Amino acid sequence: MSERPLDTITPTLDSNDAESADGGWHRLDARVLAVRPVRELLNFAIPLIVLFISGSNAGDGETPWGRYVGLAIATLLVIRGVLHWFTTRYRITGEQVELHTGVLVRKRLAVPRDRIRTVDAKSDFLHRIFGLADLRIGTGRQTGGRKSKDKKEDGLALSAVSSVEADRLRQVLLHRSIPPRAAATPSGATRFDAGAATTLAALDPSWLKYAPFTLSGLAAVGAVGAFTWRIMNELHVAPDRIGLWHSLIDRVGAAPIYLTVLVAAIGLTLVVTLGSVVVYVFAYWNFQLTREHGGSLRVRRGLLTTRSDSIEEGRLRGVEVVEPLALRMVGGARCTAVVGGAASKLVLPPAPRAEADRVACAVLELTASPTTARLVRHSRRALARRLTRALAPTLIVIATLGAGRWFDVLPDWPWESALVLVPIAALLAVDRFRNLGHALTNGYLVSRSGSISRKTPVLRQSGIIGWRVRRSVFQRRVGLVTVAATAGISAGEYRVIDIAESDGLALANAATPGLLTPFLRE
Amino acid sequence: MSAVSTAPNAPGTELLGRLRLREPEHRVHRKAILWWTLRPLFFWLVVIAGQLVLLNLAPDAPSWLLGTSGASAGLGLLHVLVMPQWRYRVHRWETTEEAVYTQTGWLNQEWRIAPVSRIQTVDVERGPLQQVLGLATVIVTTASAAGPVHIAGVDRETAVRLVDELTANTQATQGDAT
Repeated sequence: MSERPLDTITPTLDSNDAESADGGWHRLDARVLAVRPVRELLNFAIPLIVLFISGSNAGDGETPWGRYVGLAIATLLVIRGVLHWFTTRYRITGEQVELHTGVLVRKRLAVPRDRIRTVDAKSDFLHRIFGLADLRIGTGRQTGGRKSKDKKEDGLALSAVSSVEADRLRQVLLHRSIPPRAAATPSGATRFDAGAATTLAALDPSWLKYAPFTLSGLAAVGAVGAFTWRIMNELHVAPDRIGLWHSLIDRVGAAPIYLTVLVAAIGLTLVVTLGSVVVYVFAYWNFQLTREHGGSLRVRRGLLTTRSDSIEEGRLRGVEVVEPLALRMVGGARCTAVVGGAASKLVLPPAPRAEADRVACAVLELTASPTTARLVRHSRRALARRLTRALAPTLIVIATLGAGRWFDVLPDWPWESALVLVPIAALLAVDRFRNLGHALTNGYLVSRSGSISRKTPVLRQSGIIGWRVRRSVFQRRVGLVTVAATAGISAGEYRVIDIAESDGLALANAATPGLLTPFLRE
Repeated sequence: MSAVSTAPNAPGTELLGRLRLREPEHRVHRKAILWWTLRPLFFWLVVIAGQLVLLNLAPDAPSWLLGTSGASAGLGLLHVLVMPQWRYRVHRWETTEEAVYTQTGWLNQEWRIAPVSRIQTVDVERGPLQQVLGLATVIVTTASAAGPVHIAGVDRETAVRLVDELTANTQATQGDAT
């Protein structure tokens, strides 16, 4: 592994601020003074508007306190935004990144540079007008208790610096000389390219056809609906008062019910499709995955809000190909990179499955992607387990609804319509069983599972820390276990579900030779 | 059905046939049975007492509350009698120079193996009940977010000795622990 010290890669960047005269402390960009107060006001726009309007509606003789309160709050927000600039300073030394911030609660953060995993830059519309970027430095520091599932990953946040400074920081913080052990790939290839960044993937407009099959459309419609409802609520506008709504309800009441349902379904589908395409375009426009010449991967995307996420390649532990059910039916997939000590980062938006495999290959620098490896299927007893796990809750729901009918609490149709869940649950269970599979190939552990969201995580064998073997009381009867490889990644572990006990232990033993051997016996 | 096709003389593949995990060497302390009995006792007492209070004091308490309080009393009794003994038979732990190995659970059982070279911290935790009983829990964390390895129900001296042993072993092995 060639170690190139920083100054031969980027001779013009100074990596050690502490050597300059004033101790090297930098402030955030001065344009933050303009942008931040506007942002704070926008965040509270709706409550402020409501306050103003309801304040003005006060009767004669009453003081319009709403207006005064609104004005006071707005002033405080502006002051807070301005103070943020005054109280934030940062510095990069040879070993650390230091950040002093906070108005009421002063925070002094110092993070060792070799803990830095990712550098994410985000510029929304306001930032882009002024040429700023919101920088978030991922340090792998985890807060929120050891057992919490959704650990908050505490990073250093610089909000905001100029785009030029953001780029400089990204290069300085990620393109250090990486220690040989952490950077060695299984193939032993050297990684530093002599030239500029290599593009691994770029957005193809034909991928838009996968947009309607993601859930983003539903989420968008839901968000818009919730927003509208909230506005109407706050401003006390009742739907009955809108003439259009009235005439619509009258017409719906007059038409036969199947027609209404049909029209509503078609309308909803159109709206959801349109919404998802719009969301896709806004999120993934100009998507580009590049390998930077200093040893990092960079993902750029976004239409109004541009994002640039960078991952240090030495921290890469694998990839994961995610195929939600709808997307899978049309042959699409997403790909995320599994990073040690940080959250997984998206490296490919919904795109053809072949493209996801190719990107996985390119990211891991292999010739054949482990995501296309032939997977060993699990035994038929796993099918029985999947069926039980899917049917038992369904039957319980039906039984509860039936009991409600029996005690005359509920009518007939709840439990009768719940019967349709049984074949659906059975089909899902069979699909889940058929998707179960695992393999150990080329230095990677592959374990596929899931139906509604089929995930194929590929984990570097050297990244596996230890093992967790679980056997529930039901699995014990059929001789199955769930073997999970624990690693220093955000998911915590990747599981091989419902595998025969002997096979699971053989797999674990082969994945980390020598670790399990003292504890195994025939 | 073999999961992996590797060369016969590759390291770690000498064991073929039906593999199983052997039990770890040490049991937990006998007082752990008392600890496991007392811990859910409080919860069950609150549940049953709450239902009885509702039954007696509320003016129009539904009759099925008698049934549920009886059922929860039965379940609670079963849980508190069966679970601690079962757990004592299952919970075991072992540390070698290379790894920490634990077996835990009762209905659902779990084995955890963590290599010493990847250990980040070793802590001892003693809740109020554990302090009264003279027990402790050793918590071994690695970089994995899947949670630390717990060795619960050991007595205090063993816990301290374990922590010293593991810390000495961890310092002896090098490496970045992620």
